[in-house]
Amino acid sequence: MADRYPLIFLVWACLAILFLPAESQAHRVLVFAYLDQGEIVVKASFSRNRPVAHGRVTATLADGTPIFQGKTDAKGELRFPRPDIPAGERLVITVNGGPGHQGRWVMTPEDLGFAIRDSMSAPGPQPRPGPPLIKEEGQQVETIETIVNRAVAREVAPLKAMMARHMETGPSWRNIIGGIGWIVGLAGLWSALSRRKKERKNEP
Amino acid sequence: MHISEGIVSLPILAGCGVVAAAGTAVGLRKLDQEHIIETALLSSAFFVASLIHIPIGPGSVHLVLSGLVGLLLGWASVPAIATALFLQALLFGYGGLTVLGVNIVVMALPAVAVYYLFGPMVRGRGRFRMIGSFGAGATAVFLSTILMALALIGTDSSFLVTAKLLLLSQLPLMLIEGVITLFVISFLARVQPDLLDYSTSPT
Repeated sequence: MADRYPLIFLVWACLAILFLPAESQAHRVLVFAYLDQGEIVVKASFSRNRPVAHGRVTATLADGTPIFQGKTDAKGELRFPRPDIPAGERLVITVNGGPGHQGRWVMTPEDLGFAIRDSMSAPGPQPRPGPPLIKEEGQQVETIETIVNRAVAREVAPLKAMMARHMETGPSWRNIIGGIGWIVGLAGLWSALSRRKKERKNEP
Repeated sequence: MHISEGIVSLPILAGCGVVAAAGTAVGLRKLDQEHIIETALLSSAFFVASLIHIPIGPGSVHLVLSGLVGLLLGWASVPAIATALFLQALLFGYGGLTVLGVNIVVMALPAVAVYYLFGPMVRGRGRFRMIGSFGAGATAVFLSTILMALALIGTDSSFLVTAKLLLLSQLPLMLIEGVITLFVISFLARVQPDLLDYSTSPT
């Protein structure tokens, strides 16, 4: 009968686990944020493509000044309008994925699109005023900046998505095997040191 | 189970750092040459266990194996777990180097505790060994959860709220760890009982 205890335990545990509530318990929260057509897009996930659903998102300046607070949706995403922060400031996006789990992403002025805007407004040879580039029906005028921004956003979107996916991958085999190698190496070193210590102690 | 960087308060970081360093020193002093290979093996097992995700419902849990490591190594489990956590932080980005001390305290102290709490039962036979093995695996996770909630005091929510939330989410892991520890100890007792000797003669 004693030999059957492990099997009984296993069956009982499997049944118990099936009916238990469970939350995603991962190691770290991966955060990725980028600017998309005037909005900050935040994507947060645990390792291996599990989104941080309803995680608390806070955006602050580098000195901790709060700028924005919100929550991710079921897909681990949040969009909010780009805040009007002082030029040259970084935006720190922090996502809390539950007790003890937090990740962050820092957006530079370039990421926020401010550098482009500032360089365009910097003093220099002013273009000669001329007629608007495009004039549609209804008198809607598009500037060169708007057209370029839209075209660049369209081209860069797949790259951003690829980067977000890349951020969500787990540890590589190289890291896993490397870590085990480190442990073996450290054990060997400790073994050699303790053997030498023992030999010295035994010396007359 | 890994606490991320930037959450824990500075006094807790410093306190846990001191406790972790002291525990590692004690563990290294008690680690004799005969048990170094065993310690490295269990450290490697702990290192890779966190990569094994078990899907449960909408989420998943990952193995810890701190109960098993504690039962087999006693105090030597502290340097074993500390090494694995250091490498996990360095290579995988789990936890972080600034919170390494906290994570060592959260995971290694329960391992030592279960060695003393369940070691005598595991050294017994039959039913006692099985109950002790299961209890060690489950209790190590339970104690880690309590320590984790304590370490998170001073963050957003109160200790009780955090502890309740963590306990609820870690309940499946307690059962899984208990069952795995039970199987491994039963298997070792049958095929390689020498490996359980560390428990009988702590250095």
